[in-house]
Amino acid sequence: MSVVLKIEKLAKYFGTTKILKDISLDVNKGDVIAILGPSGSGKSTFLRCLNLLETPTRGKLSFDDKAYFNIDYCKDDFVDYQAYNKALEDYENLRVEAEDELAIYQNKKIEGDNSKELAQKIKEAKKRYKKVLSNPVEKIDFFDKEKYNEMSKNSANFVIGDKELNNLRAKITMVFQSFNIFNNIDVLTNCVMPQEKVLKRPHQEARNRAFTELKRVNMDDRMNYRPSALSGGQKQRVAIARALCIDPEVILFDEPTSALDPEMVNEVLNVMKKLAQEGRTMIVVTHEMDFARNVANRVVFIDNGYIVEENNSADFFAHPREKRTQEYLRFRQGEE
Amino acid sequence: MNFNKIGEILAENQEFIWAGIASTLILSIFGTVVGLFLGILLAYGKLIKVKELDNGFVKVLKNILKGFCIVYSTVFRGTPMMVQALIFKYGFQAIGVNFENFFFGSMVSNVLNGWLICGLIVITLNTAAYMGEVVISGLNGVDLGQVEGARSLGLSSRQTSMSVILPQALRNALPTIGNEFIVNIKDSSVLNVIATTELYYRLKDIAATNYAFLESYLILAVIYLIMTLLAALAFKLVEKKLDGKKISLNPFGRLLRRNEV
Repeated sequence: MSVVLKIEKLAKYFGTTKILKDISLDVNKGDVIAILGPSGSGKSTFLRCLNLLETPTRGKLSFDDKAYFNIDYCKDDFVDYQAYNKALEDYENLRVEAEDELAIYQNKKIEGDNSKELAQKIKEAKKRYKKVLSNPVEKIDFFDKEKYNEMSKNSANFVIGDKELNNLRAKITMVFQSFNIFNNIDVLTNCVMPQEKVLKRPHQEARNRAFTELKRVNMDDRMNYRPSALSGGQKQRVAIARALCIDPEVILFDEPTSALDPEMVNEVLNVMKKLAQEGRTMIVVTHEMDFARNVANRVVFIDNGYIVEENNSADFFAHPREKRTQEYLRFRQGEE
Repeated sequence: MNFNKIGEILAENQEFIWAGIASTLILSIFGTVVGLFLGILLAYGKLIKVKELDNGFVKVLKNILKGFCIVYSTVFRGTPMMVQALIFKYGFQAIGVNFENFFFGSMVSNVLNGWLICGLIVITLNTAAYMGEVVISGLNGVDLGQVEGARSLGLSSRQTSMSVILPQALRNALPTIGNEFIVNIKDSSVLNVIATTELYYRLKDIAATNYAFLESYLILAVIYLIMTLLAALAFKLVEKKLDGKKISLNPFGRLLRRNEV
């Protein structure tokens, strides 16, 4: 089996919060990977990093053996955060001190002291306050540029250009929890428009393709409806059809059923099951244990920014290796 | 008050009143349409994000553009249109542009005179400042997920804003845009201070020559009322059309349907 998507040492920080720390994963052609994990473990962020909706902090991502993102070192790693935070604190103290001083003099003036001395003092205090304000703490002052330049000189530092990125996103497309189908146009146009804009398909061909895909998800009877007239499950099926229209090689599902009630969950899961049987490559972030057990062929358990356990789905549920996984599974099974 | 007088005035001054209505419509429609277009540019200008990664030149350029847009909308929203009109009139005179010298042939000079051009400039620039805010609020009303949905399919950022975001933002803003149009119909009357011969200016003239003030201004009020009502109705229809609903001109349609249930 050939590797479609290769993820190496992926990390993502939001400021000082490290959401993803070190994630490596090979996605083979035809894989259906279920990603499990508690809320806040970084599952969605991981998925969003794959099509660069979220720019990873560092790591290497390649599609069909071609890297589209490769950064070994991130600037953030070379910021002395301890010193930076301390400087921020000091600055704040200085600022408050100067402000207080100024306020004391100004209060005296309000109370009726009109002496020249006081006016002079106010002037000086204002000057001091302005001086403090004019020297704010900048992150860049704590950035070790030399070390960064030295380290990054021989290392990879590559992000795909905007144009190629758009083409790549058509290959690695995404289905969202909140559907995100375009509200201003009807169902059919939702499926036709991206084909025309991204793949430059002629209108008639795009229409025919949209008919086929909408039929596949059983939405061909609602083609002229606006999204506002559809139920959640229907919206999600349209979103899937829309994604299928642009011939993706990998489809990322970001909790596609979390916003739906149980009945609608089934209609969406049935569509996804069908896609899995057709041999499409799918990465699914989900809380549906049944889907992970029966449809997915691999399961990845993410917690705390790392991959805790990765296995084929039968073994994952039958014999979880890690303690954390066992805990999670026991909890979820108790729930069901 | 004499009701016969009203009929008399209407009959005798038909031509002037129609000319007034025409120029008021030109002012308000042109001002709203072009103002909306400029407002979109203004909104995008105000929403420019200066990034840390930009190089020096781009940073300066972005700051200048953004600053201009902010100052522009502050100034134009913070001063009365009447004052703006006067400043434009005398400002143009000071640099040697006199709108009195603009002629468009005798046939149409009744409506299309130089002061109308000056009025058009003023009302457009003024509307643009308000439209900027209207468009910004419309853009804020669009769910961020729509952007992600479009980008994840491979649409470029320009394609995303042209075919997904802006249409939705304008749809959100449509009631406010309609409101702005109605305000323009009424507020174009202040342009009489620079001798733009719009509806109010005409009726003021008629009132003075016929020495029938109450009658003339009552006529004026009714004409404005009809114009604004029609404008409101037109915008309602456009809204329905954009939502993909069937348009029915029957005002009792809704009433009847309710009774059926």
